[in-house]
Amino acid sequence: MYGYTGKILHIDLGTRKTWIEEKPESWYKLYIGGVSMAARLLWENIEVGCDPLSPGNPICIANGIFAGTPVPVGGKYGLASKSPLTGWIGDSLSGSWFSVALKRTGWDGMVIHGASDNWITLLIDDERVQFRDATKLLGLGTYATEEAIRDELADDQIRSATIGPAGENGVLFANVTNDGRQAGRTGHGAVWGSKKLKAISVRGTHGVTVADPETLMKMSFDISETSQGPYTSKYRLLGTATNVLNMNKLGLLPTRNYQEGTFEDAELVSGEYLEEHYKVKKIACAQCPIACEQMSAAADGPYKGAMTGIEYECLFANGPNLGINDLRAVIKLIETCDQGGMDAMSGGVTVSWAMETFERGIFTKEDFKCAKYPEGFEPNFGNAEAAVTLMEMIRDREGIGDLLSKGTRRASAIVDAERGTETYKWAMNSKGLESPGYDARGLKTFAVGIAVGTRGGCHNRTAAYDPDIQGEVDRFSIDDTRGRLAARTEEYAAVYDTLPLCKFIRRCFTGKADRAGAWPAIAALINATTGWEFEYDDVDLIGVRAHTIKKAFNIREGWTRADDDLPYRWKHDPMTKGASAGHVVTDEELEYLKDLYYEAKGWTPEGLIPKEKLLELGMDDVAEEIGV
Amino acid sequence: MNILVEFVGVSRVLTGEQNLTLPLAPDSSYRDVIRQLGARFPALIGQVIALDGETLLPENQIALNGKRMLQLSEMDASPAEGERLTFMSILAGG
Amino acid sequence: MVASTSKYKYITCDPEKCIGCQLCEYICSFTKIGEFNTYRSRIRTVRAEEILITAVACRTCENAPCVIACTRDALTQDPNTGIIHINAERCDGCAWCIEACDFGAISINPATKLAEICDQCEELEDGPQCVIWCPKDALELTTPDQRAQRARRKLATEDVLGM
Repeated sequence: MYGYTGKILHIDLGTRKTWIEEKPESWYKLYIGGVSMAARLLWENIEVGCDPLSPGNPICIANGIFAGTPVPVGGKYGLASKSPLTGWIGDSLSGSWFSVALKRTGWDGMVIHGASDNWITLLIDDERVQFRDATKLLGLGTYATEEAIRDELADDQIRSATIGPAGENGVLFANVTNDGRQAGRTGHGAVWGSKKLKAISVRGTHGVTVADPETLMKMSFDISETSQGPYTSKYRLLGTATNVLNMNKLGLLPTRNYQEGTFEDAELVSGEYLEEHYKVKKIACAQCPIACEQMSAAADGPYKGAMTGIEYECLFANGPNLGINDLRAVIKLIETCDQGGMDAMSGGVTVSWAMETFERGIFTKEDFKCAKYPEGFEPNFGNAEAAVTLMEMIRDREGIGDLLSKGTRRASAIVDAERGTETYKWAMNSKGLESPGYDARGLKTFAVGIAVGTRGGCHNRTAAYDPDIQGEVDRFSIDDTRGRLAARTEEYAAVYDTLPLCKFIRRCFTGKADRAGAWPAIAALINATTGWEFEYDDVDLIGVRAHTIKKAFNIREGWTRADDDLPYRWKHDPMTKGASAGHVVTDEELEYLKDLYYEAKGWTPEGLIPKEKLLELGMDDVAEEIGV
Repeated sequence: MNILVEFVGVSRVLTGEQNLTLPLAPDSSYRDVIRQLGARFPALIGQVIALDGETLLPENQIALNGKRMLQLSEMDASPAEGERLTFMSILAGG
Repeated sequence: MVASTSKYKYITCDPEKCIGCQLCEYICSFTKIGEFNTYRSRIRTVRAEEILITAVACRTCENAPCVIACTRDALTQDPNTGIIHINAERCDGCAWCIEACDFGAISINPATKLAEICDQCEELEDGPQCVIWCPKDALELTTPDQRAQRARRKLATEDVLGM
C-alpha cells in the first residue's frame, strides 16, 4: 500500500495498554483521512450515549493522505470526539508539522481510549509509545508546552498537539493546538483535559514514499507555482482578515453580539489596517507555499508585545462583535485564547453575550467580581479591558468565568432558570456551537446550511454562504433550489476536509474552483500517491461519505430534526442598519428550507437516512444500526 | 454622471485608495468602469483586473450598493447615477 | 568562528522571505534518497522564534573545519567549488565533523552511519533543487561577494535614492 501503512494505533490511557489495528485498503478508499476517517474511527470506538467528558469518549486522530509529501497544503490532520460543548460530533481539522511528523511514524491514525489517573503526555516515537509525567507542564500555555517538551526531549523535530490551561480547567470550548494552529472548535481541549492528557508528541523518522513520485512532484511544483499568483493574493497580502471590510460592506459583519451587521469603526479593525500597523511576518503551515498566517503584534499601548496569528473569524468575534475598535486589544484577546488553548470564536461570542446581558441590566457590576477587580467591573461593549479580563476569567474558570466557560447555550439556560430571564434570545449558537462571522439574516442559503450542520454553528462545514455572497442566488430570499445548493456546498467542502487539503488552494489546479476545475486534479494527486484509479465521481463521493458518517453519528446519539435550528436573534431580530437590514429567517422559511435540504440529501422528512443510501455508499454496518 | 468606487482587499493594497468618485460618460458600461480604473491604476492589471483590461480575475467581484455582486452577464449594463461599486477580494474565509 | 570564503558558492536563505514551509527539506531528501523525510535533508529549516525562520545548508567555508576535524581524512573539499565530499569507505560516523561545524550543516545518517552534507546537487544539470522549489524565492546559490554587492546596491537605491 502506498499513502498508508494500514495501521491504526490504539492507546488506553487507563490501562496503559497499546495495540495495533490493521485496516484493509478498502477501508481507506472509503474514508481517506481527515474528518471522514476521524469520524469513522469515532463511530467505531465510542461508547454510544456517553458523557463527552467520560472515559468512553475516545480521541480519534486521522492523518492526511498527502501529509509528509510536497503536495501543497496537504499537511493537515483530522480530530474527532463527541463534543462536550454541543453533545454532537466534534470534528476538527488542524494543520502543519504535527501531521507531517505523524506521517513519518507510520501510523495512519490514532484512537485514544479511557482516561489517565494522573496528568501525562504521550510520546509517539516511531513505533514506540511512552507515557510521560506532565506535572511540570501543567498551567503552561500552548506554545510554552510545545517548547518545554522539545527542550526536555532535546529534539527540535518533535511536534506536539497540546492543551492549554483552558483545557486543563475544562472550559467547554477549549481547543487543541499544534505548531501555532488549532483544532479549534467544539471543545477538544476539554475532552483531553478530562483524560488528564496534556499533550501528544510525535517524532517520526521514517521516510514517506508514494506510488508515482514523478507525477506527484510535477503536479506539486506546478500547483506551488500557481499558488504564488493572483488566485491567492488576498491570502498572501492580507490573510483572511480581508473579510472584515467585505462583510461590513455587505452589512453582514456581526457587531455587538450580532445586534447589527455594520460596525462604525470597521476600517480600524480591518485586515488592511492590521497589515499597515501591526503585521510582523507572514508564515506558513508545513507543506504550504501560500503562507496566509498573518503574525501580528500590538506595537504599543497596554497590550504591547501581544503577538499571534490573526484570522477573520477570531477577529470579528473579538473586535466588532465586542464593539472593540482597537486592533491591539483584539490581538491581545486572540492571543489570550491561543495561549490559553481555547476557541477564540466561541470565546468572543460568549463574551458578547455576557456584555449584552450586562447592558440589559440582568448582570450587574457585582456579577463580575474577580481577583483583579474585587469590586467587579462593567463590561460594556467596547470595554477592551473588561473583555480581556473576562477572557482570562473564562480560561481560569474564575468568578463568572465559570458560567461563561460553558458556552452561550448552557450559560443562558442556567441564568434563565435561576433568574427567570430570556437571555437565550441573544445567545448566538446553533446546537450550542457559537455562530461565525457571517450573518444568516442576509444569507438565506447559508441559513439552512448552518442550521443543519452536523457540528453546529460552523460556517466552514457548510460553505453555503458562497452562492449567497457571490450572487448566484438572491441572498435575501429563498426558493426551492436552496436545499440542494446547501447540500452541494457542504459535500464540496467535505472533500477538502477529508483529504485534507486547505481550501485556499482550490483555484490553483486549473484556474476554476468548482468541482470540474478541481476534482480531476485531486483524483490525479490521490492516484499518484496511492496507485489507485480514482476518477471524478470517486472524489465526489469522498465528500458525501464524510458528511454521511458524521450525520450517522449524530443520529445514533439521538439527533432529531428539532435540533437543526438557528439562534433566536436570526429568526426574530432584524438588523436596523447597513445593506442587510430588515431581514430575518422566519420559522416557516427555516422549516421549508430543511424540508428541501433533507430531500436533496435523499433522506426522510425527519432527516433520517434510508438504508439504501448507506448501502450505496458502502457503509453497510452504519445502515444496519441507523438506516431506515 | 458620477459613481462612487470603493476599494477593499487586494485592490486597496495595490491602489492605496479607499474610495473615489468616478465621472462617467453617459451610457458607460460596467466594463468601461473597469477599463477606466485599470488605466488609472495599472497595478490592478494582472492582480485584480485581467490582462484584457476589462474583466475581473477570479476571486474578485464588484458589490452593487453593498446588496449583491454584479454578475458576468451584467457587465455591459450601465451603472445608474450615484451607484456605489465596491471592488472586493471575495471570499477570504477563516 | 570561521567565515565563508569569498569565492565559493553556497546556498543561503533570506529569513525575511522564508515562511517555514519545509518544501526545501522534502525536495532535498527526495532528490537524494527518493523519500520525503526532513530528517534526511541536507538543508534544514530552523525556527528560532515563532517568527524567526530560516534554512541552513553547507556554507563552503574556506579551510573547512569539518575537513580538518576528520580523523580519518574521509572529507575532502573540492578546490574549485568548495563543495565537501565524503568518502564512504573512510567515514566511520564518528561525528567529529559535526562538532566542528558551527553552522550545523553536516549530519550523520543513522541508518548508514555516514556523514551527509549539501553538495548543491552538483550532479544535476539544473543545480540545487531546493532553490528551484522554494515558493518564496528565499533560497539562493550565491557567493559572499554577490551578497555584498546586492546589499550595497539595495542601500544605494532604497536608502539613499529613496526608490
